[in-house]
Amino acid sequence: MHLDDSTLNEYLDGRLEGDLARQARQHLRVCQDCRSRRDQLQSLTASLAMLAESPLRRDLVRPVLARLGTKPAPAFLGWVTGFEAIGATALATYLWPRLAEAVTPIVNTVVPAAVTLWSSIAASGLQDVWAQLALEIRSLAYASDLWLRPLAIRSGPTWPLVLALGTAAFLLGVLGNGVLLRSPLRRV
Amino acid sequence: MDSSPDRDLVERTRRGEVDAYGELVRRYQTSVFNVCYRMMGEHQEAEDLAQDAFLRGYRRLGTFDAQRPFGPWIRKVAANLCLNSLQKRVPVRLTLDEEHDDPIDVEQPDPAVAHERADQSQRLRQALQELPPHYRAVIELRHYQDLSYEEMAQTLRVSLSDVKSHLFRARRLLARRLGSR
Repeated sequence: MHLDDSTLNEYLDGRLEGDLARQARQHLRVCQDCRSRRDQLQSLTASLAMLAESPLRRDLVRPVLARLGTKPAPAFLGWVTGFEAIGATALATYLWPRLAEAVTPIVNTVVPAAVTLWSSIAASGLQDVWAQLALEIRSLAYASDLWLRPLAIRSGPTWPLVLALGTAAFLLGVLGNGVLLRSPLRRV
Repeated sequence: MDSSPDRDLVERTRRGEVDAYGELVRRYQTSVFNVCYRMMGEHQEAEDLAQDAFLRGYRRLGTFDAQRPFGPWIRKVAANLCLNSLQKRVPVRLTLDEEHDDPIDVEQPDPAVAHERADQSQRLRQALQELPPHYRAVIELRHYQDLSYEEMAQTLRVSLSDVKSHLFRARRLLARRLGSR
């Protein structure tokens, strides 16, 4: 009785264990026919292992990335990011005093209003909340008139400069983050 | 050239850095191409399928366990893609019955040429091309990707017994084609 093909293949692939492996080994010692079949399989395995790798004729990186809807980021993006950081710092330095002027009254109004609203809820329960909320909304509408005053466009050359700096920072931000160069496949 | 480990490149790709995936393509393009070349036997088609494999890998990267090596995974993707392509394109020329009944031309080894590796590779590639698609796939996965029987069954979505029978029949056919028998 010879080893069947499946057993012989599994033996050569190291899948037989224990008694099965021992029996196969013993059989191969005494059976010329099975040894011959084993040798053929081993020869085939050696031939397959010798198959040479073929070189690629062209680089696949660019075609693959192009098909993903993108291409490698150009080197100048690093410089753009640097300019973006410098521009953003300059803009923030220039705008901060003016922003502080605009934000301060907002903080001064909203924080006490929120505290009042929360105290009212805690003190009187939910039944008075809607009435209190309506009151707060009316007071916020009044306050917004005050908040907008500092933001009103002033005469003089400074606001065109702010506008130009802001636009430049935005464009640099878009470029520097590679938004225009990225694939739409953000999640894979 | 980015020297980051594959795992970092995979994570960066998942965060949207497509260039990181470009580096993975650069690293594995030759081995993926060779998977396709062994299975398809035609250079241009193998290049096209290698590209397709990387695209499929990119889209399935969410299911890839980044703790495992990327190379074997993308090569399995490529093998599966080639198998799908072969099954769509080529009718299986040998049924199991034909395999037993039909006489197979045994190529006589030429001693003068047998020692030339290029020629041997050519004969082997030719013999691989004459195998039915599933047989080619198990040869690829077992002999070139070193997958276990269980991994092959999982990759090809077939039963373990199918893997075993495909593998030993494929080897027998190859051996006959190569004149080993």
